[in-house]
Amino acid sequence: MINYILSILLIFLISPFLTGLIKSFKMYMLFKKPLSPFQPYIDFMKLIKKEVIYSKEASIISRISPFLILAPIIVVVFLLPPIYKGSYYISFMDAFTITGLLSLSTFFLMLLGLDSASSFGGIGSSREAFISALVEPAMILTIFAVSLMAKSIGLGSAAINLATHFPTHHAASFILAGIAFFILLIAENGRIPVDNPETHLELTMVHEAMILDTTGANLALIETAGALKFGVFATLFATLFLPFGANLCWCLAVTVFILKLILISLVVGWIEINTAKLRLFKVPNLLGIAMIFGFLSLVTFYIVGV
Amino acid sequence: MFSFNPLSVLFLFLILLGVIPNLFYMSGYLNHIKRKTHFLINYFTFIISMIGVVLSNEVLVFLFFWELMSLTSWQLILTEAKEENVKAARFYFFMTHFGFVFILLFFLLLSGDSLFSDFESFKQTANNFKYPSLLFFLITIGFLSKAGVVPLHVWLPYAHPAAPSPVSALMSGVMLKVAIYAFLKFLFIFNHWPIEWGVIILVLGALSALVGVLYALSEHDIKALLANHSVENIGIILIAFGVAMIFMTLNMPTLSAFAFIAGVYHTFNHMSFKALLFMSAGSVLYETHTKNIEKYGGLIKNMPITAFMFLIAAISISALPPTNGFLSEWMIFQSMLSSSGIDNLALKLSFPFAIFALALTGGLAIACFVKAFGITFLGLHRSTNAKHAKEVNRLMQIGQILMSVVVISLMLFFPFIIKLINSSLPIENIYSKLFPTIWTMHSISNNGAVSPIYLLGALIIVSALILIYYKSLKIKERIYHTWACGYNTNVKSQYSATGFAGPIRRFFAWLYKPEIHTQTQTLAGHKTKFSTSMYEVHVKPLFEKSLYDGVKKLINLITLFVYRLSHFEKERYIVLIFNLIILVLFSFRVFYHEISWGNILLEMVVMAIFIKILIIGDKK
Repeated sequence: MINYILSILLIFLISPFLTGLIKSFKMYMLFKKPLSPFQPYIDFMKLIKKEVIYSKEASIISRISPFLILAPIIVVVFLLPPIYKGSYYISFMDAFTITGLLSLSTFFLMLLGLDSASSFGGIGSSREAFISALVEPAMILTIFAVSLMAKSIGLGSAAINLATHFPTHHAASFILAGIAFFILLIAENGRIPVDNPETHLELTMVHEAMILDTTGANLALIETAGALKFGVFATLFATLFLPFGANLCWCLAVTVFILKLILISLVVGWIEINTAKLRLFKVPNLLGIAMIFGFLSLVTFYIVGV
Repeated sequence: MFSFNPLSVLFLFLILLGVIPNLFYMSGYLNHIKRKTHFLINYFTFIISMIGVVLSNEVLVFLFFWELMSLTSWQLILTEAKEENVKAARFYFFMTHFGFVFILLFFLLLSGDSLFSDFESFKQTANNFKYPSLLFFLITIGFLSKAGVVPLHVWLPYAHPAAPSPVSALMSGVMLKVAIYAFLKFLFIFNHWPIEWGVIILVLGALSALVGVLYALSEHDIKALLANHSVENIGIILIAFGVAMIFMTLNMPTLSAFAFIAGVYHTFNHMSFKALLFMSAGSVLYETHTKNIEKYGGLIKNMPITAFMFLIAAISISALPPTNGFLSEWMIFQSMLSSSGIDNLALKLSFPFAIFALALTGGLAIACFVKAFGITFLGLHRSTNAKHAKEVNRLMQIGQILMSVVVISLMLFFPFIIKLINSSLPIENIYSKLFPTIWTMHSISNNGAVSPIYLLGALIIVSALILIYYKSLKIKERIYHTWACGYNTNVKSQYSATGFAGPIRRFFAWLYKPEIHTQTQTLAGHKTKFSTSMYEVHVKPLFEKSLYDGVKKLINLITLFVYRLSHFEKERYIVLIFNLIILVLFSFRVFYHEISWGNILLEMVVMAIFIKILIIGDKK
C-alpha cells in the first residue's frame, strides 16, 4: 500500500517536470537559452498567489469547471498500472473508465471555453470537440487491441501480464498499437502536429484558446490538469508499450520508469521541433492513421491467433 | 386478455418511471396549450394505450392498443396546428401505418384462425413456420420503424419536435421503448435465430447510431437535435441486441445474456435522460418561445435549475462516468470485446467496425451536447426573448427534478436494476457473476470492472480536497470584462451553434451535402468577375433525399403508367388480366414449393416477354 501511495506521489510530482522538460529541451535544440525544466512548479506557485478575475459574462460554470477538469484526472492517476512488480494497484476499474474520465475532464474544459462569451473560447471548444470526437474511436480500438494482447482490460493486470509474459508472437500488432497510442498521446495532450501549446495565435490555438479567460489559481488548476494528463499518458505508454524493467528491484524499477518517462518526453519534444503544426482539417488524417493502426493491430492479432 | 409476465412488468415499470415525472411537468405546461380538453384526452389515452400494449396478451387487444397509441400521438402532434406541424403529423401518420401493415401481416401469419389467440400459441406456429426469416423481417420493419431505425427514421426528427414538450418527452422517452419491447417480445418467440439476423440488427444499430448523431450535430432546432439523438440511442440499444443475438446463435448464452442486459439497461437509461432533456429543452422553449438554438444563450443565469438538469442529462447521454449512460455503454463495449472468443474469423473481424461506430458515436455525442448546453445556457443572451426568460413554474421544476432523481437512481441502484432486468428476460441468470460484491460490476470475460459509486465518491472527495485547498489560499476575486484581444465581446462575436459544429460539418460534408449557390454579380446589367456565393447550411437528410424522394418518384411513375393503362382499349385489359393470372400462378409455385432460381429466372423472362409483346406492344 505504501508503495502504491509513493508511486502515485511520484507521478504527481514528476508530471509538471516532464512538460517543463519538453519545453527546455525544445529551446535547447533551437539554440535558445533554455528555461529550467522546473519552471512549471515556479509558475504554479506564482499563479496561486494571484487574484482571480472572472469575466462578467461568465456563469457558475467558470467557477466549478476548474475543479471538474482537474478532479477526474487526479482520479485517473490513482487508477494507473503499477510501476514495479508487487506494488498494489486498483483492479476494480478498467481502461474504459479511464478514457471516460479523461472525456469528462475535456467536457468541462469545452464548456469553460464557451462560458465567457469570447469568440476565442468558442474557437477552442469547437476545435477540441472535433479533435476529441475523432480521438475517441482510435483510443477505444487501441485499448481493445492492447487488452486482447495482455488478456485483461484492467490496466493494472494488463501491464503486469505484458511485463511478465510478453506475447512475442503478437509483436506486430503490439507495435501497431504502440504507434497508434503514441499518436493519441500527442493529440490528447495538444502537442505540436495537432495543437501548439506555446503560441497565442488565433490560427493555431486549441487548448490555449479555451482557457484564455482563466486566471490565477483557476489557471494553475487547469495547467496542473494538463501536466497530469501528460503524465498519465506517458505512464500508460511506459507501462503498457515499453513493458520492461518492472521486474527489477524497486529502486532500479523506479529509475528505469523515470528514464522511460524522460525518453517519451524527449521524443515528443523531438517531434515538435521537426514538424509543423497541421492545419485543422489535416488533423483527421493523422488521427486516421491512429485509427487504421488500431484496426490493423486488431486484425493482425485475430489472424495470427492465440 | 392481459398478462403480467416478467417482461411486461419490466416495461410497465419503465413506463411508470417515465410517466410520473411527466404528469407534474405536463400540469405546469398546460397553460401554454390552447385546446386543453383535446390535449388532455389524448394525453391520458396515449399513456393508457402504451400500458395496454405492454400488458396485452392477445392479438386483437395488442393491435387495438398499438393503433390507439399511434392515433393519440398523432393527435398530440396536431395540438398546435401550425403548417409545419400538420406536415409532420401527416408524415408520422403515414409512417406509423406503413409499419402497422407489417405488424398486421406478422400477426395474420401467426395467429391461425382466431384473432383472440394469445401470444403463447405463437411460439409453436412461429417455430414450425417454413420461412422464419420472413417473420423476422416483418417484425423488424414493423416495430423498428416505430422505434426510428435507419432508414425508417426520417419521420422521427419531424414528429417528435412538433408535439408539445411533455409529449415529446413521452414519445422519445417511452413510446420508442414500447416499440423496443414489442420487438424483444416477438424476438423471443423463436427458438433459434440464424446468424444473419443478429448481423442485420447489429448493422442497423451501428448505422442508426452514426446517422443519428451526425444529423443531431448539424441541427439548430433543439428539439429536433434531441430527436435525432433518439435515433442514435435506439441504434446503441440495437447494437447490444445484435451482439446478443450473435452470441446466442454461437451458443454462448452467458455473453448473450450480458449483452441483452446491456441493451435493456440502456433502454432504461435512455428513457430517463432523454425525457429529462426534452423537459429541460421544453422549459427553455416555454420561456423563450423559439426552438432555434441560435436565439438562446446565457440562460444558466435566468434558469439555473433547468440548466443544471440539462447538464446532468447531457453528461449522462454523452456516456461520461460515473453516470448511468456510461454504465450501459461500458457494458456494450465489454460485450463487444468478448467477441474475441468467436471461432469464425470473418465474423470476428467485423466486430472492430461496430466498435469503431459506437466509439465514434460516443465522441460525436460529447461534441453535440457541449454544443447544445454551451450555446443554450452559456455566454451572452442572443435574443431579447432569452434576456427576459425566467425560471419556469414550480410544477415544471418538480417534473424535471423527479426525472433527474430517476437518472441518478438508475446509476446509484444499478445492481438492483440489473437484477430486475436479468430476471425479467428469458436469458441465463448471470447476476451473481456480474456482482460478486454489490459495489463493483465485473464483465464476463477480460477482467473488466467498473464501480460508479466508488468513482462518484472519488470524484467528490478529490473535488472537495481541491476546494478546501483552494479556499485555504484566500484568493481575491474580481469581475471584469472578457478578454477578447482588445475587442468588445458582443452577441454577434461569440460563437454560434453553426460555427461550433463547423469543423465536424465540414469533415462530414460528403454526408451533409450543404447547398452552395453561387451568383455572379451584375453591374448595370453586365456581368462582372465578382461573384457572391451563399452557403445554405440547412441540410436535408441524405436518406430522405435519396430513399424517400426516390420512392416517391417511383410511385409517381407507376401511377402514371397505370393511369395510361386505364385509357387503353379492351384488348389490352384482357392481356393485362392474362399477365396477372400468369403472375399469380408463378408466384404460387414459388411460395408453396421449393424455390429454384432457374425456374424463377425462366418465369421472369416469360413474364417480361408477355409484358413486352402484349402490353407495351411494338414500337411504331
